[in-house]
Amino acid sequence: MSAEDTIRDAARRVAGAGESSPRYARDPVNMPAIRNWTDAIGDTNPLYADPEFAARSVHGQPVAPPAMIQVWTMPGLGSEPNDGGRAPDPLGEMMTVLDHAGFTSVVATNCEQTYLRYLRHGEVLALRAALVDVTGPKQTALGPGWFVTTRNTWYSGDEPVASMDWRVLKFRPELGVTAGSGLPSPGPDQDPRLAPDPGSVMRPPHSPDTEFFWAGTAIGELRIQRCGSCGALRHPPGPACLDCGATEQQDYQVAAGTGSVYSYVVHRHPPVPGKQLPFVIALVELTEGVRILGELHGVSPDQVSIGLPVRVDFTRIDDELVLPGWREDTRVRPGSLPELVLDVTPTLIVSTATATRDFYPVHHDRDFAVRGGSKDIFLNILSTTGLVQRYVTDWAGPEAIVRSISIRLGAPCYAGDTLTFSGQVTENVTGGEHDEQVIVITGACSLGNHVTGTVRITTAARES
Amino acid sequence: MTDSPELRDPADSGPRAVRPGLRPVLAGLGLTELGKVYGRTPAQFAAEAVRLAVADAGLTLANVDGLLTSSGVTGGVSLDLQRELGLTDLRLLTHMQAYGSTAGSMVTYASLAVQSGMASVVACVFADSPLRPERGSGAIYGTRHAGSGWWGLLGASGVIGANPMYALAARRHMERYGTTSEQLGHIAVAQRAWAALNPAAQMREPITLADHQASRWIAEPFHLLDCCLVSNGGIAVLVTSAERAASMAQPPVHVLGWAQCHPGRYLRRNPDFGLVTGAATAGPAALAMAGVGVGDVDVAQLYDCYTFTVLVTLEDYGFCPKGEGGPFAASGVLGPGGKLMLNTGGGQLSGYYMWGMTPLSEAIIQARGHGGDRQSALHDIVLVSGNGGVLDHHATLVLGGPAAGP
Repeated sequence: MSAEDTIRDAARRVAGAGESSPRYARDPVNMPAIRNWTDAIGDTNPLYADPEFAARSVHGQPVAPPAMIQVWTMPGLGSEPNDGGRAPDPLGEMMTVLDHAGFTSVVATNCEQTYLRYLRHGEVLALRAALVDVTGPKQTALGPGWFVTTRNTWYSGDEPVASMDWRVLKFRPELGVTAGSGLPSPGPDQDPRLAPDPGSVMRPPHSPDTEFFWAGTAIGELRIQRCGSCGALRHPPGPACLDCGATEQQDYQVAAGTGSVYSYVVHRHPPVPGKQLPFVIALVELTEGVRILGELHGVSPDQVSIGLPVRVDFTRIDDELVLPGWREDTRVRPGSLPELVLDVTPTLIVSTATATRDFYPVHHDRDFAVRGGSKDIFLNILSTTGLVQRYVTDWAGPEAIVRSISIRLGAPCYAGDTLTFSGQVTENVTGGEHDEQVIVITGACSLGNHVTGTVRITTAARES
Repeated sequence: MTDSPELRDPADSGPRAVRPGLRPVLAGLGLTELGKVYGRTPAQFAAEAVRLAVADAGLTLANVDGLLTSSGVTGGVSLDLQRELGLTDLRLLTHMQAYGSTAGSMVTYASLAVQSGMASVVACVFADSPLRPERGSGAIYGTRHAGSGWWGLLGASGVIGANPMYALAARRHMERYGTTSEQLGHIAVAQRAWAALNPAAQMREPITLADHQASRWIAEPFHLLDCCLVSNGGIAVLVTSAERAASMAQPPVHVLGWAQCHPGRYLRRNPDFGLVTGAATAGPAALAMAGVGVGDVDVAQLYDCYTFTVLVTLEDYGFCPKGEGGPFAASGVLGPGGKLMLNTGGGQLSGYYMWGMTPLSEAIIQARGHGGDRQSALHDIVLVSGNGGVLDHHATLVLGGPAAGP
């Protein structure tokens, strides 16, 4: 039997077994765990911590943050799962099969949580897991691999209260193979986004005409050539003024870094060194009037339009090269959420990892993380989910009910980085019993998008 | 696009300004095997193409006293071609490069040389050999410019090759005029139908609009079937005088008019990026030199690196009003049986990709009346366009069939 058949057979067997027997939470839903979590995440919603506020709310009593759902059934530090290790573990079984087939590395790519209702203090949860599907082998930017999707369902008694579709890529790492080296990329729903690899990015050569431009990007300035004689701007830079013809006294001015999309394309073929397909290239008309080309970050192909306000977004490739790109300027768009800028300190990473009961050492032990090839300790996924919830409810208000959080995971967010959340309301349904809103969020760090996703919330319908 | 009142009226400066015997004629055409022809260098293709063109005219290489060379993405054709062909004591020799408009520029330069008496038989040649077995054409063109000069920034931003640049232009046209991908698709479908009638075409299997829409995205809004082929091969033409051509082997194809326009507004604050090309200036000038109007054109060979290039230049030449290229293309006028004889060999989308030599070679075939199953009944006035860069360079030729001497 071929290795592929072995994997497919195992997938059929595990999926056919259906939902596993329950794994019970070690503790009931409780205030101390909630407080640790809200402190670490920075969520100040009084719904969780203020019993009087909670009593007046639609819930009538204190409830747990919905994004904590996975926390309750996490195993403790060094302890066995609370089922004595007897409950079947569909994800673990598939991981073992794929390990044996040589697909030894794993990266989580997607997490979709749906909350059927908020949890009250004292409830004891049980988790049942099932294998949804295993697809592959796929050629990905990380190497050949298989996508494994499992569905976790949490029960309170017999009542399902939340579910989570969890997708991981189990892959065989290929040394030296990076994005854009000719391999087909995984589809838009499933590519583990990588930071640009310094070795694969095409390096623009400098010339006397362009030196000032690259010196500018290196310190976060977008510099536009300006004629010292007549003041006209030109881009791309060149040896003379395009308006008066002066060849000397060519100077520059620092652009405001804002503009709008004048035209754009969605690049899908051929592969480009250092880029993940597809990506958006925008011809941006600067506020100052000249046009400049660059990659548009953080905007999905179906969300781009001519006229979209953008602002400059620098990407540091390495010590020598900083590339200018573009990002939607949500400050000037109606329906946009105010940005949240977080300093990702070691304290944030360690305290949130602990509060989400994720004791894997890469989230608290720097030496361990570095030995494994990471730059530093990095944010764990449960905390990312929590930060996404906090970002949206900070804006939507404490009474908003979070119905689902669906995120796609991207570049790791290391200690010392800055994580910037931005968001946009993309759907706004009013008129029913509840107003429903869909918010698309992006959490960007220096390596690119750490997380992108969608949060669905409802609020009590306003009196009209 | 440019206002140059100091220029002479084109009608007074072209071939009609000289005595009839010296007026320029295209007298020879040489096409090597074209397409997936591996293992040969551009210089080999170029030398063969010139030999074929000379033989086509019923001449020998000893009759050639002028040579204009041009090369494609792989280079390899140079002034050295003179020595490869054993040409001695040439009276005109230069290498030319204006990208897709080079063929028109070469014929113009050769015509000026012939009508001035500077040279009497000038060979103009293009050859390229970018295709390799087992290698995608996108990868070949994609790496062009990727690392050099200012293109370095574009490459680092993910802009490689011409596809994204033309797609940016097309997007502007779509935004302004409501042009759709389906309308572009009509051009691809029509040209494929023509290619089915052309034995030299690379892609002869008919396609439908649905095939166009289902072909994979390259750089949205372009599908694969919006983009030209990549070909190996070489094409040469001979320009001589009307009096010399009279004793040669082929029916004479008269060069009646020419013009160029190089807008030079690339990435500047021009409000018409993607909306207007140099054809809007070069077209009327070349037609005026020939003493005809766009309504007199029997056959049009418009440069087609992309379906969009055809659509926007149809407007610029005046085959339809500005902004209406999309509805015009979708109206059924294109393809065999349509009322506009356009890109009758399949063009570069389905025939072969020899830059400006593709429309020029099919124009000569049509003007001679040698088009076989795809021959236009009327072929007295043939319009040829060449487009280079990102709509940066444009050259127009107006050719006359044997009955249409100046």
